[in-house]
Amino acid sequence: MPYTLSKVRIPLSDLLQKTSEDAPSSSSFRPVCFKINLFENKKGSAYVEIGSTRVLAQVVGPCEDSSGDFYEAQIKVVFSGFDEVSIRSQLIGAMRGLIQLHLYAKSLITINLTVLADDGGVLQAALLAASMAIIDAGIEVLDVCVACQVAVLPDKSLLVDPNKSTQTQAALTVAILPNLNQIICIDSSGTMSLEEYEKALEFAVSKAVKLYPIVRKTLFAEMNS
Amino acid sequence: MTSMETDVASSSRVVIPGESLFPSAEDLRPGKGTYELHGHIYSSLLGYVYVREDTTDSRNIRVIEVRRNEERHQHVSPHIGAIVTAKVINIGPRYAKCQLLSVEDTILGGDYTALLRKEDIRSTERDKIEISECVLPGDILLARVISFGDTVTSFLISTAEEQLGVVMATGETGEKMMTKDWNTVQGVETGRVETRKIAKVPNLNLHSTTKAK
Repeated sequence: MPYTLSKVRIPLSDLLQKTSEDAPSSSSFRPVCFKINLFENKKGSAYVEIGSTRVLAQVVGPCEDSSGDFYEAQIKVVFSGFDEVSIRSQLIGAMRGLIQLHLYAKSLITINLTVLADDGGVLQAALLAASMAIIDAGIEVLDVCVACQVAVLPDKSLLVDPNKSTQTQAALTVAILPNLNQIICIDSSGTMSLEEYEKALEFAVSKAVKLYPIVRKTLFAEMNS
Repeated sequence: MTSMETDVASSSRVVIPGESLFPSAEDLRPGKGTYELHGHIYSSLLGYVYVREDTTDSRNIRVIEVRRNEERHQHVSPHIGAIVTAKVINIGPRYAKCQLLSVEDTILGGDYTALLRKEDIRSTERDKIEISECVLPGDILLARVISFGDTVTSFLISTAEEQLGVVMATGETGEKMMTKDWNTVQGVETGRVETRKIAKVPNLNLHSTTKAK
């Protein structure tokens, strides 16, 4: 089981601090820390820390987009501190599945993501941060979103939440809507057989669900503060 | 519109998006902050669950809502048919540009602008309308959203209904104006009379005149 530090202050001061080189366990996440509503009077922000991967998300809008769609909102994702080419479209696709876009016709929702530190699994952290920031902004969504990255190691065993230094044969990131049982994002890299793919997907979904209590606790903590 | 609605139960139950609130039923309706799917009403916001009694059609319907805080919802974008409160920013020969302040009873979070075209100001004698005789910058209007506009323009709003039009006016000199009759407003300080397309909201206008005395 992953554990949460969701009540603690954001440790911005020790961003550069090296984490201890624990032997990665195949069945648990690195320590995670989630927080929403970081800035007192501006709704729509979230911070996600998974191991030493740290992502900050801020949502602007919905605001008017005079050239926008008549039926649904447009989503814009702005990354900073990260080469986003590989994951931006995945993130937009996932957010399109999450947000009830038809309620915000001719509007633009901007998600600003700042990757403060990258130690692998930026997409899973970004998916979690963006979805929680959207929820904090009060934008209507279908469900919360939980995401998980798994790696297929050269010896064909599966590892959850690999960091950057892990030698992997392939990696797979999945985002799901746990209540509706829907997958909203799959991003895979490397080579694996169809069989391995199916196994990795099932494994990733089962691990992503493990984050649901933590997301839930994080959101509740905001309502009770 | 739904004047028979009353707040009944405002529970302290906190829900997160995606939580199943109630199974669908004949007398349950998903309200703001919720949606209905596969025979269940789900929450779509983080907030408290409210159950509101709605007896509009002499049937007892309970409306389920989820609100982040007690007072109001945030982030509703304008939709066609909605009554909006708008402030006139500037006027031109063909249209008045307005900023939308709220949609029905919800204050807007984001910035939205809308155009009030000349021919949408009133429903009679459309060809004789002069914009400056109907609205002036600074006026607060009640209007209805009639269109999302085309690909380059913003929302289009209309005041071509009796109960829509100017509800608070600012005179050419910047002073506060009170409604005199259905077509004119009078300055509080100078007594100058200007013309407007006044919203015929009996209660609201009555209230504002009594307040001025």
